[in-house]
Amino acid sequence: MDTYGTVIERGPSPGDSNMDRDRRKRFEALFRTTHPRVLAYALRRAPDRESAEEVVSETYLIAWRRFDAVPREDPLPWLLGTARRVRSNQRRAATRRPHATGAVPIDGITARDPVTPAAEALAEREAFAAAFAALRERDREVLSLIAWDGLRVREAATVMGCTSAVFSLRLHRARGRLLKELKRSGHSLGEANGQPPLVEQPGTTEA
Amino acid sequence: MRSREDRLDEALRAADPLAGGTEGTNEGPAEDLLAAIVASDPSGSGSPRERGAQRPPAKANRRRYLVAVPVAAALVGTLIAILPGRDDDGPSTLPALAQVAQAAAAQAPLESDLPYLYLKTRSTGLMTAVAGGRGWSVSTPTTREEWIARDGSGRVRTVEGPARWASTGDREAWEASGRIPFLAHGWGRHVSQEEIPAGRFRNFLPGGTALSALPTDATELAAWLEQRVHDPKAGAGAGNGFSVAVRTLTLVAEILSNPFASPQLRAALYEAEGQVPGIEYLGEVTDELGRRGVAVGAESANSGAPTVYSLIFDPRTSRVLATQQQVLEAPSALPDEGYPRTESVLYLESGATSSLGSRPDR
Repeated sequence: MDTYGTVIERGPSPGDSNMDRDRRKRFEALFRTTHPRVLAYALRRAPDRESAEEVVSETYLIAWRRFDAVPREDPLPWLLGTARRVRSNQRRAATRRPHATGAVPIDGITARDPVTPAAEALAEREAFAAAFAALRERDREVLSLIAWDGLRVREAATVMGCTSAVFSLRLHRARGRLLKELKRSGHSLGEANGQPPLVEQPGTTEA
Repeated sequence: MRSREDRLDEALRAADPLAGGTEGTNEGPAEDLLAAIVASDPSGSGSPRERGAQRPPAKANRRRYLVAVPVAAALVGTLIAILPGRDDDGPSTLPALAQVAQAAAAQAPLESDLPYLYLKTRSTGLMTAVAGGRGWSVSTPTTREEWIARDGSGRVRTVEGPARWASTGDREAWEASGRIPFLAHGWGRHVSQEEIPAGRFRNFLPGGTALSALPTDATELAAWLEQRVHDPKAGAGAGNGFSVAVRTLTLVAEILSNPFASPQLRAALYEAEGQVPGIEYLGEVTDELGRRGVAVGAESANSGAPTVYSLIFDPRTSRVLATQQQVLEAPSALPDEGYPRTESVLYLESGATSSLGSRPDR
């Protein structure tokens, strides 16, 4: 039983060598254990489901062709880093065409709750959405890798292609910039005067 | 008492677009994708993007349980009258486009000391999902504002939503499906903003070609357009299944709507476009804002349903008013109600401005 609750055993195809079969089995195991998180990563960042599925498709195709480069231990950061580059290329292409936005979708804030919330809660959500959207893409990515994708600093650093120390510093700064934007957008978190500033030091977020 | 840091992390987690779960990520489509990948040649070299024939078919995945297909729609339908066409099969320019080319050449060039150009559009798209053999569509409006600097940097601000059902039949089909949450986002209104780095904006074409480098002779430009829409590396749709006419129309519309395009380039574009087989004069039309213009267009069924792709412009000024798509017939899974359906981009306002975020100075 794997992540999906099913395992499909495929018989060898004509012409398969033992090496081919081993490679395929290992890839299938990799795919089945990581696909939900790679898809979730893409869905959070692509403007629509079709684009997200293209990112996933291309990511695993690259992994299949460069399988020797995929770490056997903890392959997820490598896959998410690849997905990030694929999505980046996709967004650059979209930016060159009219009427496409490469912004990280953050409208799940309103999408998740079809029932009209209290006006205050709605205002808070909209203020948070506006503050988050106002951040630079890199800040949004740093924050979302930790908060949404559930990565540890070391894993997120691999995705971003930097050291853990640099990532921690970026995370610290991104949080600070988000608080500034929250203040600007009127969110209660940004107006928490008198509270001590965020004092996280680089590296302290590591689980 | 929770610290501000804890509250910030909590607010971030609550803002996760997938906090409600990743519905639709079931094993069927994933297994389809896996099968397609392991069936491909692992020694394939180069970018998978350049090897489209071997790319796993994302559409096959969605067919199993959920399809999010941007379906076209637009314009003119019964208004379309194939009026003045070409006199023969040769490379003559459509008369209507020859006239607007003259109007374009007579326009004053864009001259301003202000650092930014502003462009505002409003688009209406259709998002369609199919599950269990039944489909439904919602209309998704977006207002987009762009501030473009001459180095190709700038800002894009979009306001999306709220989405609306395309028809009562679409809502009924969705309810009959068990209310599958098919839009991870897009139900509610939201605002996003993106800063664009230098060289990435409209005064550059995909591949980095500057608009100022394009030929302004119609014959040379027609040759450039033809080369462009056939080059798989040019980002102009080669290999995407649409006809040369539709691909050319799309590329021309993209350049014509660019505030940096010179009068000479715009004139050559109209003239060159009129030489492309398959692009037809669609007659006088009225866009969704009631503005009168004329349209040229081409038809394609590549999206899965017969669709007319068109460009609407003011023949007196050559100004682009809108680009539209119109799905003529309902695909079998969708309610046969409300067709033809329209998807459009309306060009609302453009001009020079002094700062990011400000409207044109008057």
